Amino acid sequence: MVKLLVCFLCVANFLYADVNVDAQVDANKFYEMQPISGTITITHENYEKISQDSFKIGGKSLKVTPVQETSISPTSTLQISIFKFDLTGQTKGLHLLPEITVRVGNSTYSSIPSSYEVASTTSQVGVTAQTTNTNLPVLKLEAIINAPAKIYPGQKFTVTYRYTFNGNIELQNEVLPLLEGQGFEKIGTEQIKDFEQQDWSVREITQLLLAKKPGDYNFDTSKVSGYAYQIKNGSRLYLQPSIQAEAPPITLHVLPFPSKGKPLSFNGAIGPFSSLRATMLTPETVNLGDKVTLNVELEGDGNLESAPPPELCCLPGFSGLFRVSDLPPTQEIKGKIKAFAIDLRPLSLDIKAIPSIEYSFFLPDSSSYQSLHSSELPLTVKQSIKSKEAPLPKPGQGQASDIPSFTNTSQPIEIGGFEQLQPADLQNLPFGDWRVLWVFPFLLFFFLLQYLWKKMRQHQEIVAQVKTAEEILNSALKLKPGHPSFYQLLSRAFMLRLAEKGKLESPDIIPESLPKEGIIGEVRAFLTALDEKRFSGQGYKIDGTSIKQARQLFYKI
Amino acid sequence: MLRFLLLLFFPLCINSVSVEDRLSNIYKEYQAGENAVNVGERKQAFNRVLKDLMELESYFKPEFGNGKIYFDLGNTNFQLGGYPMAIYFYYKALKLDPKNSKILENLNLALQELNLKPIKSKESYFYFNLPLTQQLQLFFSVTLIAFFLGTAGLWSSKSIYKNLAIVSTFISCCLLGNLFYQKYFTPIEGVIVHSSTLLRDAGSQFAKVSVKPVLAGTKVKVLDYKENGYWLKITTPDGVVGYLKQDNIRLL
Repeated sequence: MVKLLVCFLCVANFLYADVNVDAQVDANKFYEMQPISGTITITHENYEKISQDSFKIGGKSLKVTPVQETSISPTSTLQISIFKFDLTGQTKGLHLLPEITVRVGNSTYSSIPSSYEVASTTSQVGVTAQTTNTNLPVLKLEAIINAPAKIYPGQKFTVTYRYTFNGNIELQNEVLPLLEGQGFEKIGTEQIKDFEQQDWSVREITQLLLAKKPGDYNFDTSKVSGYAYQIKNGSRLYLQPSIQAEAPPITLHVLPFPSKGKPLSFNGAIGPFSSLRATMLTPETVNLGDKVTLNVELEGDGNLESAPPPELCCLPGFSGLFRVSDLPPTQEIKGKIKAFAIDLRPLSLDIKAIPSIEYSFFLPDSSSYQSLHSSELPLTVKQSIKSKEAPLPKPGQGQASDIPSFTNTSQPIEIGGFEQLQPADLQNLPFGDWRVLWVFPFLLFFFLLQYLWKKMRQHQEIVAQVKTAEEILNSALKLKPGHPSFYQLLSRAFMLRLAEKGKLESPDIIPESLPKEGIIGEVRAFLTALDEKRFSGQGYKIDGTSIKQARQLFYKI
Repeated sequence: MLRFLLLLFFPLCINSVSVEDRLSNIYKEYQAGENAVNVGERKQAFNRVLKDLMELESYFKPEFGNGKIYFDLGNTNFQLGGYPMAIYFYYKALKLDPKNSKILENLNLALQELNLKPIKSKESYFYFNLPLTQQLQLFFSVTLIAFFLGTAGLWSSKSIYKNLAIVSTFISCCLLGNLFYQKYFTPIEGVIVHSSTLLRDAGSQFAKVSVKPVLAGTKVKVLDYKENGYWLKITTPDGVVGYLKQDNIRLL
């Protein structure tokens, strides 16, 4: 029973344990003295932090290197953390990888021990001979910057790491910050060159960088480390201890372009360049507003790849007279010539030529600027049939600036009709949206209300016209006994009275149908007597006694 | 009392003044864009105009207005080279002001820029030439008249009121039926703003309906939607039916 309980608790603990530590060596078999590398995989909740300093193996501290942290799924809080570790080489035989403990969150967890095999090499003598060899493994690291004395933005240079070593070395760790080129633009990929130099093996790793912005760029110490090994019967025999090499930290200075003597047309080109030529790719005679394509060629030994196109919009003679296309010009490099195809449109009939284009560049060697000018190109602008001339004032005499100033408004290029809006234009039209449909049921409802109200009033009027029995009696007694309506009104008064008092169900009964008993019988007798007198031919007279009798009988009901 | 009224209406006046100023600035910026001396200035000016107009449009939402703001949005997008969006706004403006020839002209210019077929103005009966807003206003007016005539006919003994009420109610019912049909039974239209291939079903894994994409600026009809509107089933003017993502279309 106790055993069952313990098993249950273990299973429950396992099921509910949210941290799992698994440690494995990376290979099933190692060779003598070969460093043992392994991987620790920890599955845990992402809010539980792993204490990297808490790794222990066999009670002793274990140094680990974090490799990766990844979530199991986007919706799960579980995370997998992977660490690498290295152990010293072992002698041949079967070995046990002890449990590795680690602190995750507030608890300590351990892995399950596992075994691995260390095989021997076939020749012990060969190993002994190597260890007595005076040529100990040597690794040297050099960082080489192949750059001009002064680096300016737009200039390229190379950084090279040179490894010099004897024998075979398996590198475990490389920290080469220069190859990352933080703050610079990497041009192309790393170039690796291996060669032998006397008794040494040399590897050079080169990267081309482009300076972008002025500033000081610091690169930390470069480090490499690994193990020397020998090949024995097709397998590697690693030598202890590990070997390391470092290169000192480096600071690169990228200088800003000097402001003294900087031409207005300078836009970052690095020379030297020898010539600037401009040719027209379209006819020399165009209509106003038609496109003109210029081919501008820059030739020289400078940095053609980063040479930007000339900014015609800002050059004298172009501003206000030509509209430059907002698309970037196409560029092509052939040998030492870079060609730009620039589109622009003339805006005035006064244009006689495409002005000279100025292109300025910087010379790093002399820290100075130079400018090249192209020749003017004749251009005739004609009035087109559709377009209207945009009148421009000609440049005045004695103006300090060469750039013509103008204050007229040029015609819009293609479309027109922009409406100046008023606040009312921002509002919806009254009763112009879908809510207006609700008006129909509402008005219908109000109309029906009115209809019902009218019916109700009519009914009330009808009801109001109905008189009570007393009123009919008084009306009858006001009449003369010989009045034709006298008997009907009197009879109606008594019938209605009986009905009002609940003696009759309906007042629409003839007196002869009334019962003879009770008060109803008295009414019947009274009315019958009156009727007999009426039909007796004597004509009847109702004196005050009869009226009094009628009233008494009426109020007796 | 006067002070209270002034305090009540003062903020409203201020608000009205600031909108006017803003609209005036927009107009000036647009003119500045047209008269810009270089591309950078031109783009900056039109982008400012576009930003302001979009803010005003999203704040006031004049979807049942006179359409002028949509016309201006179309023009601004055109000037910036955004022809698909220009076409979208021109269609919106045309919906509110179908007889405006300027809108139609600019719309056709934008369609031309994208190598799409221009559209012609529709000639139809008077009522169907009216924009939706005016149709709704007409319905409101006729319904109101029918109500007053019905009320007069109910309380008056004259039969002319009753007869007129019956006629106007009949017209109001016809207008209501037509508006209901427009709202619930006519397909929603949209404008493609990014050229996109049509797929056979709602999902990137499905095959394309045809190799050629539906070009930006094309006006299409929306037939259905899936995945809460992420995928829309549309039909092109050529009758091709397929699905595309809702990001590629703007509904009119």
